[in-house]
Amino acid sequence: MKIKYRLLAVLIPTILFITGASIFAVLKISEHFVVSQINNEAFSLARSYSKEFYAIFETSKKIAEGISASLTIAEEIAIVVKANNDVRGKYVRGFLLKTVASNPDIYGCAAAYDPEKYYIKNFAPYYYWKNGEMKYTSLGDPEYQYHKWDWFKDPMRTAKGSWSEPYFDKGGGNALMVTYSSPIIFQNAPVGVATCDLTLDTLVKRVKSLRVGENSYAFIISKNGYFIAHPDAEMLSKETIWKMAENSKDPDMIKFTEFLKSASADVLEANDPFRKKPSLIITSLIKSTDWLLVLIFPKSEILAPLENLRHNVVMIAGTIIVLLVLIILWLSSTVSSPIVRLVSQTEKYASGEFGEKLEEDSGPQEIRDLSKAFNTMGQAITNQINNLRATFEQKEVYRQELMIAAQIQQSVLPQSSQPFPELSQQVFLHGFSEPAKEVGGDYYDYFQLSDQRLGLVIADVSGKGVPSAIFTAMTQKLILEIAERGHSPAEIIRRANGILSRDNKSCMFVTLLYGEYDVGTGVIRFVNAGHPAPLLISSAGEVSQIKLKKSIALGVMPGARYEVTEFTLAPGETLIFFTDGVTEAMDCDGNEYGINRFINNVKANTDISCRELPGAILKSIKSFCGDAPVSDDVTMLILRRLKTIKGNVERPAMKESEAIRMRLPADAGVIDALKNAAELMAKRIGFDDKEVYEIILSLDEIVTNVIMHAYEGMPNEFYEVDLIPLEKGIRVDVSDHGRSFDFDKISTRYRGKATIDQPVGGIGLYLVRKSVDDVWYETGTIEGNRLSFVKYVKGPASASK
Amino acid sequence: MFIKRAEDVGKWKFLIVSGRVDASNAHDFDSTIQNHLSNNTQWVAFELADTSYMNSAGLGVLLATLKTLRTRGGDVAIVRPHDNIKKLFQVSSFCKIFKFYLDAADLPAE
Repeated sequence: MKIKYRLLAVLIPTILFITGASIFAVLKISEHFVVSQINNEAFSLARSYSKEFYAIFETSKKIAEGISASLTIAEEIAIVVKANNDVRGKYVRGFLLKTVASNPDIYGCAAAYDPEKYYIKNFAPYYYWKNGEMKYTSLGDPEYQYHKWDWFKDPMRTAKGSWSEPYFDKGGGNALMVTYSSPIIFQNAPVGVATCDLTLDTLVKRVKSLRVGENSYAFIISKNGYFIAHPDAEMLSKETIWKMAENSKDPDMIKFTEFLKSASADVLEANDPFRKKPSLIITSLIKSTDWLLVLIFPKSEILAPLENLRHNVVMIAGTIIVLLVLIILWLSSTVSSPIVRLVSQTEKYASGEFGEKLEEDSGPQEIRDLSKAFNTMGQAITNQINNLRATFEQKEVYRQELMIAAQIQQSVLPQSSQPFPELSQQVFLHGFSEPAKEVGGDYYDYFQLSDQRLGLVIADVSGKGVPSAIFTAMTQKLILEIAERGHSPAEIIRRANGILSRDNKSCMFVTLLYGEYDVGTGVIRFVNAGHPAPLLISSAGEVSQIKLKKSIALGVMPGARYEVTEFTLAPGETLIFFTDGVTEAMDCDGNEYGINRFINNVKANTDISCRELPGAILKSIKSFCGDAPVSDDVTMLILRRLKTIKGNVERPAMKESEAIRMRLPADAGVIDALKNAAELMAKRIGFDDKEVYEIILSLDEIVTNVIMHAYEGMPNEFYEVDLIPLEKGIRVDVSDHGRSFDFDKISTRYRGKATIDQPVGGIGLYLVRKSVDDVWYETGTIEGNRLSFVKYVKGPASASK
Repeated sequence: MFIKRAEDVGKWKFLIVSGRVDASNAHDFDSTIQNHLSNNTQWVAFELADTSYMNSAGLGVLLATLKTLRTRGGDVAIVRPHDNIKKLFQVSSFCKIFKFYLDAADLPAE
């Protein structure tokens, strides 16, 4: 999930929760505050209104009481002055007139006397206001019958003043009204009642003007449950509220009436029983009357400010949330957009573009640091790539140099695999050089000095690479050039050293072994310039290192002297010239292959051919070194003096020591010489003509096999035949280093069942098996493969015919 | 070189062979014989009295000739073989499928 969305997902619920909780708390607190405020206001309103009504009622009461008190005094005065009924009547009416005239707020006043006992019968004058004019009427009219009205009866009976219930004063004031009656006491007994009237109309107007709000209203209710004043005029003439509650069975009404009856509570939160809205209902007792002023505030109205508050708070909170979300979005994009830039930079790096750099001066510190680190990394990678490229190019140059060096070194080595064919029956020469990875300066060489003398060289030039390869080539040509002038070995090397030492600024040198070999006598005259002496393999298979006088390497000391050592190689003996690449090869632990291991490995391999010997030694060196690379060239030169017959072959007696070895090219055209030699030897041994033919035939078939099959396609190869005279017998060995074959299989392919479709292959070896007394085949000999047979004079093969 | 003389003896083509036959010249021996034969030659006799040496390669040439002629309904005859040739045929057991005659006169006319 992107950082932006993650931030939003975490922060938005948190903000919503916090702001929601705050709003809730603020609203609760303010609601409480507002409600209590409103309650207080309502209470004080109710109190002030009830005071106002009290003032109105108290005024009427005081007027009535004033009238009754004045008329009591007037009665006493009338006794004293012995006033007649006329005077009494005039005075009372005059007093009432003045009182009503001076109180325009009241409806009217009356003074009603006991209809029977008072001086004037049915005396009840009444003054009142009607449409701004003062009127007079006598309540003593027989129709009216004032002595039956409560307002008269109650004070007469109790001698106390009181408010009447609302009533319609029919025949009197002819209005809906309430009246305060105050008794006129004379001689401790009420003689009449003075009244003061208030029309309900006046009260209703007053009540209507009391509006607290749009839908709030007030009314006054008497102790007995009659409406004294109500904005709705219809309510005034109705039955008591108790009756209404009883009839309607409305729970709101019942609750309301119970609230009215209870003396303790003066506030109720309930449904308005008339308008059915949740309201705040407050009562206040109007003093001196026992009437209740009821104020009803609909909650919707009084809580309107609270609603406004709620609305405002929600609006503010919403604005805050929107702002916060925008801020979060902005913040998250300031965090994530550098990351997006870093990601695209990483992709550029991955595709190999390192050129573009990130801006390091913008964004928060961490991002700047990261950008800086990225740029540093990009620079480091670019540097690395450049280094690698440079290294690679350098290596390529070095590789090509090595190739050149290797080519030079190869060109120095003699190319012929079969040198000096005319001497091939006397000497076997085989050179071998395995260049190390880093081309060194080994070489070997051989050349003919005269008919019977060969020059042999093996050398190791110091250093590696092109310079040492050139030094090698130079040395090789130098030795050849000087040797061909016919100098003695010591002189050849002395002269060569003189030239190589001159101006040898690079201080290169070469260890070298030079040998002048006389093919006829087997004598070698060695000059050893700091080189290891060769190994000797005797005819018996013994291996040792020969001893040579040692002189200094070439190229070191201009005037050095070189000594000659003479060594004679017997027929059948082999010399192995080698360089220190053989003996100084190391394994991973730094152990040297060493001369002893070399000697032992040659000893273990005396049964294989001279041609294969260097390969076998190299294999053993490599297996000794293991994972360690062969660091130096491995070079060997093998010289074998062959057993040969010389001069006259006609000798009276044959001994095994007079064995003949012949070395012949793989050419069917030149086997007659071999046949002749074999025939001569066989006849001298004493074989008869038939046996001779069998021997020649067998030899012919075997040699033909070698030429046709072992050396198929290799006409320049050679094979060797040993003709070994035995006591009354002959042994013939035919050796080759060509392809070997399965002797048992081929020689038994033909079993003597001649048919016209018989393939000729296999018949040759069948003839051999039938013609000789024993025949066997070996592979892996010192020359390679060897097929041998033995035939005895009058042996089993001859006898069986 | 190999065929000293060629004669017709009745139905037989009579070839007098001399020299030594081995792997080096077996091929030449074969082509020389072919030169004396026509496409429908059926009967060939080899006089091997002067053939002092022959190995399996020469034997192979004679065997190939025998095979060719037999398919034409003819045959090969060996007349007066040298001791070594006799020996070769004996040792190789090919004396069993070649017919031998002491003299040209002994060759069957029919």
